[in-house]
Amino acid sequence: MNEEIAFLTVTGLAIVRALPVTVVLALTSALGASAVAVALVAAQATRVGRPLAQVWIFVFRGTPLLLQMFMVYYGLAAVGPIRHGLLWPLFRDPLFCAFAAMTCCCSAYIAEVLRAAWQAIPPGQVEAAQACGMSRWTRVRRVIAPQMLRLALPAYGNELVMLIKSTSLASTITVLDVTGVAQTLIAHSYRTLEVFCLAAAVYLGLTAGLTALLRRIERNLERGTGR
Amino acid sequence: MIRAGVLALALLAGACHGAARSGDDLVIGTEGAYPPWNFTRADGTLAGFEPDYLRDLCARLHRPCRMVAMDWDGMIGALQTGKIDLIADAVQITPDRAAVLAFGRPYAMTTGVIATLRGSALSRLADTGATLDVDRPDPLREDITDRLRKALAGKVVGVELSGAFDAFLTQTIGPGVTVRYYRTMGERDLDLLNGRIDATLEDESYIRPLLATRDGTALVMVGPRLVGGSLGRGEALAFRKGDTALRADFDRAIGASRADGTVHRLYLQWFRMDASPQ
Repeated sequence: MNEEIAFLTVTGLAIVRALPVTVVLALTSALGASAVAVALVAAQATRVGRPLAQVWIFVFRGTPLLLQMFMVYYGLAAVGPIRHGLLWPLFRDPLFCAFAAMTCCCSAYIAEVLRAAWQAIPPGQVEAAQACGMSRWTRVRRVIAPQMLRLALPAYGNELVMLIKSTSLASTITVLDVTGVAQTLIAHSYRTLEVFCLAAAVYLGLTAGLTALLRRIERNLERGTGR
Repeated sequence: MIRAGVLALALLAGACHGAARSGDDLVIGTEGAYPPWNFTRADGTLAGFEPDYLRDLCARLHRPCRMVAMDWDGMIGALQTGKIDLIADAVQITPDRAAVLAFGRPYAMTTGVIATLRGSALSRLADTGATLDVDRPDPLREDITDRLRKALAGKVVGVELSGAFDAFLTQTIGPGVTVRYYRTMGERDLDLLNGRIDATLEDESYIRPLLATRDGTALVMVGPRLVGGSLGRGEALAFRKGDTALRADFDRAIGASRADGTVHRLYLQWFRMDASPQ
């Protein structure tokens, strides 16, 4: 029993030490994906941007993230202009490749969440704002964006939880995140169940923290809406 | 409690599996992706040293055997839960593994080597041709280790996630070297060729044939041969701890195959070198 506790302690500490990698990857990808998603939604309001945004969403939502990671990491390394070009220092780094793949994939999902929120805003409100003489930018800032935020938040939160869990795929391209470190620990101890349970607990802690934070923001946004 | 949980899972897996299995044929686990030891042909059949060798051993035991391919990271679990009866996958005898597995007598002896891109900083690594035996007390051992430590400081070395080569790097070479882990050797080779990693530590029996391929001409084998400690003392079949009768049967067959020269013929055919254990 003592041996078991000692093993769990040492293993748990090693896994927790990998937490910054998982958190950095999740945070940067969430920011990157959200920014691209906003750009995609904005692009869909223009004639030229609409087909481009739709192709982006179609491709990245329709293919597995695991394949996208492999294509960015191993695939692009075989492309001469990238392998010998200025961008190689970036694509040489597995963490950057994971970030790039996750940003592309998650932006497609988040863009759809934002588009749904956009469409849920009653057109009458936008027309009323127009009738008041609000400029396009003022309409977005004072009528559309605040409501989109409120409408999109639950589904957006869902995407962020999925994103945190998806970071574990980065371990397949040599990133030593929580899952990657867990796998190296298993390679030495052969105790699959215990090690993966500890890793799962770390992800559970992360998603629980995020869920609590989102619930708080949701409550704050609902203040004054009469709900 | 967790132990009890593992046991329950193992029993469950064993029970599920027992129902699906027919007769008394032995199921042998191998990777099917570790040439020339074992690899999968285009038509899906397994070939290499181990499929040939195990066919010979099973014939000597008069037992029907079936080889199945699976990834290394799940192989020991599959053995312990009874999905397979033994492992023939160039498994090096290491202290870590001996704690959870029962090894038969070694049937081959190969060493770890370092490979790097031709012309890279590491391609002029010292002590090429020497052997570093981690277990043997030797005044030269410390000198060689020191030179290796200095040369690898700040370098990135890629290894397959097997628990053998990375343990040597982290324990003997120390924190100066960065270890990158790969699920498969093919992925590691790609990164070695495109320059994401500076070198790899891998078994000579894998690297030597790789150097003869078209891509492999860009690579060179450098530095001392490495053996002992976590790198192992030869390759052996791995059994469940309790299966002593099965292990004894195979040990006898291994002895017979060695005595009549069959295994020696297979060494030359697949490795182009004598890989006899000392």
